[in-house]
Amino acid sequence: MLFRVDPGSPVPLGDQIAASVRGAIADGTVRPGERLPAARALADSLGVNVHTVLRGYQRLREEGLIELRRGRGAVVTGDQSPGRARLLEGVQGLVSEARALGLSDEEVLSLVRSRLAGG
Amino acid sequence: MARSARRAMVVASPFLLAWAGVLGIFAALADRLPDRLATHFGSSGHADGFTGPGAFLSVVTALFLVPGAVVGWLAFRSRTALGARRALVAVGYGTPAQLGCVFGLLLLANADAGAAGSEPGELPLWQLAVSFAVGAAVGWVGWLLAGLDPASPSGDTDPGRGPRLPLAEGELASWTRTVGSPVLIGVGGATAVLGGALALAAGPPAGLPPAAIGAVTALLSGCRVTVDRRGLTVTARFVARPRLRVPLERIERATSREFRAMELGGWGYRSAAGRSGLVLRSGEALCLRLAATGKEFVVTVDDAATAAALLNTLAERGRTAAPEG
Repeated sequence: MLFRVDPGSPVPLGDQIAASVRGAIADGTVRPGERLPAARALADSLGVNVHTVLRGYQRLREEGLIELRRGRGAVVTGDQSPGRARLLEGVQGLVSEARALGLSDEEVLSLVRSRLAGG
Repeated sequence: MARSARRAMVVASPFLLAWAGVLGIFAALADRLPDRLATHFGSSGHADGFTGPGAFLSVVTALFLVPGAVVGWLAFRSRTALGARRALVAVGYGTPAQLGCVFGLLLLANADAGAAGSEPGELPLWQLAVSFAVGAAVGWVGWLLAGLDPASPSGDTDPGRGPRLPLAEGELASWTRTVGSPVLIGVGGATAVLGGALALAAGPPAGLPPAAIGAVTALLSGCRVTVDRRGLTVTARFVARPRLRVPLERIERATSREFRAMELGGWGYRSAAGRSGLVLRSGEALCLRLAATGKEFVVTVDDAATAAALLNTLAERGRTAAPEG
């Protein structure tokens, strides 16, 4: 899979790494059960701090896309992960668009809530 | 395919022609040849070994048609242009020509002896030298003919060609992918198990070497291929070493294509005339043309198109950053 990070972008590098993985899971480049490169190796490869990579991996773990196991590294989780990754990308798109329109967090949440209530 | 059929014909024809030539000479001299052909000559040039005509013709036929069929079939199956195998084609022309010459001279010597009524023929050493000269001349023709089938039809010495992956200035990128070899895992695992069984049955000295070889084969059967600012790196999947790296500045051009394991003669780390590579399976492969040497390096890996595009982009970035380097 392809990792891309742009130090010139306002998005934190760790989040950019997470976004690369998310995109790869969403489009099927990385399949469930596949192992991501070790954080140290990826950090050396990109020329970034290993903690930056770990922050990105941590983020993916919180999103339920990967499992972090000691000694086993980062492994993409089960069958749902591609759909989940696509959903998370949608959420990301929603948030960016709302921010660009100047909506407050509360307004965004209420929009989502009303849509959820409407079924 | 028309092209592979043409290549097969080009490499097989010297064998066919030499065979037909020897047969032609035999037919022309048939009534002058003795019953037993002198086919072996001592260092003095005098005959000391004899063969019947039937056996002689069988040997000649086998000697020309079997290798001819083999090289023809190999050329037919291979996708390599003859231009990349010029030396081999030249040898494939020179050898049958030289052999055919020797057989022709042999028949002439026998015919002379038969006509003169003297039993053993004579084959002076200078005639052998003539045959080698003819072989060299025909080999040179083979060399020229092979050159008509250029090694790289796209004439791609231009590093500007090849796919690209657009990157923002200063953007960092790293592509990585694992590739496993079912063949090597299978072979390595089976060897290790057999070695283990042998160690139990016949004692450790017999079983441990195959067990160790099998284990190493299985351990090295998976690779992680990485493309980044340092170039191309291939590491074994389960162990940190050995590691193989091609620095960016050595990469002239990267492409992706379909690759068959047999193109490099099998699985594993392979090397053959101007090409080397890590072949873990047939299928998509990343191909690098190396600067300075012009050699090709191949790694079989999925999604090689992305890897090739990134390598070209990064290599170009390196070249523009250091125009003279």
